[in-house]
Amino acid sequence: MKVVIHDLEQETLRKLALPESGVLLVDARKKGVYCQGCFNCWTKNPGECTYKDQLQKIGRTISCCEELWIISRSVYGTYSPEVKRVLDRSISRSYPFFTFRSGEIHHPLRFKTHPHLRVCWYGEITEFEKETAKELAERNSINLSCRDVQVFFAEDAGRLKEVLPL
Amino acid sequence: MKVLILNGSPKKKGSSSKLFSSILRLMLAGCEVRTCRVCGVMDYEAALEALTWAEAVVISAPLYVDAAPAHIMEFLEKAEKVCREKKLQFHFYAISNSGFVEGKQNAGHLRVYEGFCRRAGVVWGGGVGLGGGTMLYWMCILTPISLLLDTISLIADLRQNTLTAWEIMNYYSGTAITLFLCMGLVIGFSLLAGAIRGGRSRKNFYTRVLIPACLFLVGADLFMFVLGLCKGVLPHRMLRREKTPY
Repeated sequence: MKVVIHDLEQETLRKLALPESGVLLVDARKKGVYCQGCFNCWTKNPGECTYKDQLQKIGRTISCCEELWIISRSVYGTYSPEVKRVLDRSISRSYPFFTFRSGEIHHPLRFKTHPHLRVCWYGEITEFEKETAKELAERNSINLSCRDVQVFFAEDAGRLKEVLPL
Repeated sequence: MKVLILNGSPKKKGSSSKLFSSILRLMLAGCEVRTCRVCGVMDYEAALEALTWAEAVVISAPLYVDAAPAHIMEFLEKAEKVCREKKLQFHFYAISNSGFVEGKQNAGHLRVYEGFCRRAGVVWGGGVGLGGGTMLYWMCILTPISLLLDTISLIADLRQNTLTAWEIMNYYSGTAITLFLCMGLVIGFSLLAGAIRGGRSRKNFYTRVLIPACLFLVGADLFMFVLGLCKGVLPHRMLRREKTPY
């Protein structure tokens, strides 16, 4: 099972010709509130966000896959606000408590899965931003306790097909 | 010096970012300081307008999933447009606070702001990365309370006894401990305030609540258990594990 979080137009997505089975798409452009930092998904209603929209159970969706793909427009070498909103709302995937991982303090995971992380940025990106992007993907990989991480860059959304081994 | 402080936490109450920016504001006495919330979409317009007034801008925001919160990313894109159109030339500084104890975990977050500056044509002034943000928040609140209680206790005793200088100092041991835990923050903010006043850029400064990581872990876990209990959730529910298909 692959989960693909993306901020692509429908037409661009269609051109990617993703397989029809075994892929769950999360369209980050759909309406949803930003994370309010209330921690209710940790303390009041563990495992689920308080806000009842498409991202309410996104923590579980992100965790329960073998491969997690993130396709995002590059904004200063990080994710677009839409994709970042999905990731921010997914913290219910972990417990509120703390543990040591890779020599640092992190949250232990509610779901014991270790997906492969694949991150692809598209759009104009400078060398400085590429470095930021690679570091961010590494950090995300530790935070999500991923098996491994690969990073891809495409000049624009129309050329994603050339770089993505989907 | 006209300084604009942007509070980037989405929290309406109990925001560490807001408290930290208030502490920095105290260190900027003598400067003309304005504060703006950037908690969500409704705040963008006022904050963007304030950018044109400022000679230095400081953003204080929490670390969310290794980078800036999503609403801040949206704001930065709009701010970039304004900066380029109006050819703004301010210094941009940042305070990033993380729930994890290592201040270095804020490095990626600060890089995002540096990237913004490069695109927007404004000057990156450097930032402070704080580890153990929530614990620092409580220490910053407890320090003045502890100082007040210690002083009341000292005054009550001074009415009845004569105390030596050493005995008087002992009254302030509680205050000294909480103040010591915040010392990294005090130093970091002093350096940042100095750079803002001088219109200079400086290297990023990473610090943390001054407590060993293993003690932080125990304290933070207890805090989360208590927070859960306050919201009516017992620990076994917070620790509920769900089955996964893989």
